[in-house]
Amino acid sequence: MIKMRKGRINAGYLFILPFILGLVVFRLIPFIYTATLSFTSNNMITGESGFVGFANYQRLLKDDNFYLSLWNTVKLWAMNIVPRLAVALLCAVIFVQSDIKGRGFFKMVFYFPNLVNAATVAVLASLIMGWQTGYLNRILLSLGWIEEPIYWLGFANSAQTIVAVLLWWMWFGYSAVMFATGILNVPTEYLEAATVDGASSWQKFWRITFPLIRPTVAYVFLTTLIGGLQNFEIPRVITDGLGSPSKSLLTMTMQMYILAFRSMQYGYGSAYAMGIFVITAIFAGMSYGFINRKGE
Amino acid sequence: MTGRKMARIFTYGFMILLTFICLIPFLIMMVNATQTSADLAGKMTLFPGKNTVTNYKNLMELIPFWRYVVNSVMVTIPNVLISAYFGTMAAYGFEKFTFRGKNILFAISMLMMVIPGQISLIGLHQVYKAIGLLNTRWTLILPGIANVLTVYWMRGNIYQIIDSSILEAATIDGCGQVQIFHRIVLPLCKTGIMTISIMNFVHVWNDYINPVTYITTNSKQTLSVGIALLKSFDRPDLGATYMAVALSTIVILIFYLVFSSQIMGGVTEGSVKG
Repeated sequence: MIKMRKGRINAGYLFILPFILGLVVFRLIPFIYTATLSFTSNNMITGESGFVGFANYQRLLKDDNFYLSLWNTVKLWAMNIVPRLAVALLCAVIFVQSDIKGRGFFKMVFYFPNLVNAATVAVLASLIMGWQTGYLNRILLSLGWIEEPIYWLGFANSAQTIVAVLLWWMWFGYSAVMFATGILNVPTEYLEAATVDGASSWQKFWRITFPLIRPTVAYVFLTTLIGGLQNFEIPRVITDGLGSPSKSLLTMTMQMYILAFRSMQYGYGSAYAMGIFVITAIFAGMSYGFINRKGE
Repeated sequence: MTGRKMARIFTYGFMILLTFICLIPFLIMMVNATQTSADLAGKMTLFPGKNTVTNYKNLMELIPFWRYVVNSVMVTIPNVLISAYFGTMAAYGFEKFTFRGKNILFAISMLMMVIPGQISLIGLHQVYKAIGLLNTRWTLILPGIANVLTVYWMRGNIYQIIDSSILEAATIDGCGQVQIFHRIVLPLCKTGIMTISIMNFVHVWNDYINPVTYITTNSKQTLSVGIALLKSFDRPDLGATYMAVALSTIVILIFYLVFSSQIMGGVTEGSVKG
């Protein structure tokens, strides 16, 4: 550590100053301002404004769209997280086996969908899964497997499945690379000792490797949970922006966006944002507690 | 050893299946970017067609594709640069100096990383409106100064790489603090800065919610929002839309091939720290 002479401003403050100022202007003030707006009736269309106390929050708790969007968001997350973690763990175990050829190639390929932006993925998916002119329907029709084109994105269940599959497709490779590194950090002596003692691969994985990579799994789980609760791009681009069919793809962030920037209800939209914040905090806290308890 | 052989067949089969799943949408995209819209609407297209140039021309008439690319570059590069510069600067301040309130400031900064940016979207929109930045590039560039992940990452990097004795020696030699930062800290941390910058680049390049909120003029949009506009047309030109998706993917693919080691290194280092 550098000791500064007395009477001079510590240079440490100067070095962190731009960042701290930026943090205040671009993160802290907007957050506090959103929280403040949530207690007002600000509406850009009606021109209303003014303090309304907890009225927006009372409305939020009675808002069917709030519960629906929460349910949709959690459902879309839950539908992709289990296959994502399962496939990623399997890939990671395969990656760290020393005799697998083309490891670097597989890693690069599996990770690539994560780099393409979600809007591009959603546009491509809607071309492939489209109705009359969708690629999949064209193939199925030509093969004679279906008589009429299927409106994949027109039904709640299939639309939600498509979005969940896309999220899985974009993220399993990322998780796999993370897990593979976690497993590589497991000391090989443990595994060798277990092999000598006659442990099977299955036993070695669940008794030694998995407990030791639990922090990585927990980190991936927690970040995907926080990320999953902010789900926005794919459902927005793949639908009409309103979460069709029958609001099955309406996520929390989408509804907040619609309230604030389509209906121009800044006050209520802000209360909605605070609702998302509280839910994110609860879920993050719950899973954090769960992970820590299980880790002991 | 048939059991072992079976395991190998299963392993490779599984890897090849996943490779196929990852790549098939891109193959469909490449094939269909070469087809006429009429064929795409009525046939099963399995092999490359001959309509590539027409699709490209139609796309250029539908949306200013390359302008979106330029807009994305003009936003992403400055954001990444200020994030790298001020982020490393803050990381250096936090890691190598003792001052009152340091730990609490660092803890608050880290807490900000956990609060998703979307929650403050309305508030930041109002801030931009108040200071007249709405619908300008600055809305997407300036938040780079407050990139918490960069500070977190670079602090670890500085801790590992820069020995305090070098800094003390430089101080004795009469170097000013700013000079030390520019002449010693930045060059020594080059690799770490490169890795986090590549990660930041991908993140800003792919950002959707911020540009769609703060940029209201279509011609000023970034690529990720611009490409989604193709879906909003009443009668979408299928060939041109496939072409747009293909070009957007190729741009990021080239970036990936050039910087793959930094990108993979970034992901794996992130998992160790996490």
